[in-house]
Amino acid sequence: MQITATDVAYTYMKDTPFEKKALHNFNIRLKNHTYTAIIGQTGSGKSTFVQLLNGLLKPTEGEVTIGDWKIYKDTKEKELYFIRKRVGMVFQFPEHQLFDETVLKDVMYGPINFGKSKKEAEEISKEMLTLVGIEPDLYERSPFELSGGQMRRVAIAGVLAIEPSVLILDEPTAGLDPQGHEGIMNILFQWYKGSDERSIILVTHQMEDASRYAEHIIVMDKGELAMEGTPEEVFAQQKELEALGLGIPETVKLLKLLKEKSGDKKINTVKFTLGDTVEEILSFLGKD
Amino acid sequence: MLDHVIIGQYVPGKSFVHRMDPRAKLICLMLFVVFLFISRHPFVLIGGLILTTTAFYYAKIPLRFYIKGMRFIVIIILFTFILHLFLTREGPAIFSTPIFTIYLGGVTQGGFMATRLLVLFIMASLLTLTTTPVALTDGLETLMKPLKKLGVPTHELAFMMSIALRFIPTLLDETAKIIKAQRARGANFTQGSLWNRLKAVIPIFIPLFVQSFKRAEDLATAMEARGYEGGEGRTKFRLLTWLKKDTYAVIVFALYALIVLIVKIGGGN
Repeated sequence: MQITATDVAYTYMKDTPFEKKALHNFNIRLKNHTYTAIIGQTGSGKSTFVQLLNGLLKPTEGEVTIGDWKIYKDTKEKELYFIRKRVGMVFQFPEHQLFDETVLKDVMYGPINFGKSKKEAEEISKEMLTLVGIEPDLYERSPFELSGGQMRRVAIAGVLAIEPSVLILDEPTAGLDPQGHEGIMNILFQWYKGSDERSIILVTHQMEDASRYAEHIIVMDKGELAMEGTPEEVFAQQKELEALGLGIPETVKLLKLLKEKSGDKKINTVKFTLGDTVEEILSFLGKD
Repeated sequence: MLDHVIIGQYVPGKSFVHRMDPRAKLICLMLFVVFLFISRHPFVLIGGLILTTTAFYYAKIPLRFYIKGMRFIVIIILFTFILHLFLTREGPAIFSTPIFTIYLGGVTQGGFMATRLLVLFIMASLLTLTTTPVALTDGLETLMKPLKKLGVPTHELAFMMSIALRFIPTLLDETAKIIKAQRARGANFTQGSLWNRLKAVIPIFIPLFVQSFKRAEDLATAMEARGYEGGEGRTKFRLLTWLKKDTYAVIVFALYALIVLIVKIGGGN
């Protein structure tokens, strides 16, 4: 689904001494079936923005459109319900949302809320649990008996089971070890590739993730749009990113250093995967 | 929706009331609460109103913000007023239907009680709005010191209170987060039958309890790791300082108490 934000602003705790402007004058347009990454420092308004996309927050000014739906200041809660069916949201530490007696029942909570029959919900839940790599012998266990990584996977399955078209991920791998991180990022990418109706919006602090998975990158700063473009375009601007307190992926950093020290102008520094980086270095060394 | 809970919330500021010693504030509040309810004489209430307005003025807490946090209290106050209105049978009848009669006494009694509660609530919340939880418990602990001789674990009590106060905002934050996560999964807390709405709360409370237990355990471990072993011989990082203005404030409230006592003994009601 296409997503647009027009002149969007959001203020927390409006009309109190704690009033805080989190977002202002924000305009964005995302095409159908795109993997978008949003990067920015803590407090730049990333989390606020993504919560506007499924109506958990309503913009205090401007409007957001998701497909045919509009979210603005006075949108009714009933309409937001339909939007949430299309826009799934995985929060930071999603395992904090687990509550039911068994893993399977917990995953079924979402689809049943959105009007699926028990049988349908069970089917789709099992499918999603398989996708995230949870074995059938865990289905009847309590979610609180699982390991941290497994809990995270179950919680993600619980959001995927709603069958959203847009999946919002707010740092889905925070606090996981590198292997767990890699595993979950791959599962989510696989889900994204599963149908050309699906989009992902990933909020992240890790430039490596943004560069490897996303097709489009949004850089935010102090509640405003600072930069936008493909990973190649964005990560070519190291100085601007550093001025915003952000870095560039390690692979780009390495190639940049190599280019500087060797003086070889032919080196292409914008490579995001380890394979591509190794190849670039090999071709510099004159080996194929 | 949890944005406007003001109980236990501190609003930073540099006003006269903010800078008072927490002990002075506690003593004033205690005097006020006790003596406001001791007599029913109108003078007592008027005095209370004057004291409240003065304290309110010196605290410099924006009124707008205040009103929002009072919505729930207003319901209680209205409820009290209505109860008194229908249940008091004093004075001449001013309005009567076959089912009920309203007496003048009911209106004045109701109004009296409502104003009393309002004044009480404003005073009490002024204390938490202008005092950091840490200062508040420090103040309580020192005021409770005499009880220690009787074997009351004053340090532990004060410490429990400061932990409880400390975690109110955290719990509110966390509740808001879990509500959001479950709403994103289609939970609906505002529609359906009462039973369904009650059931909708389970997915919020269970994660909240699980998190709280985990946090309590972590906190205990962290405290032990840093060698915490109760109040014995523990010194304070923040020292409370009693200034002249604190004495004056206490004198004002003590005068109020004295006047109330005189009215009570003299007037008899």
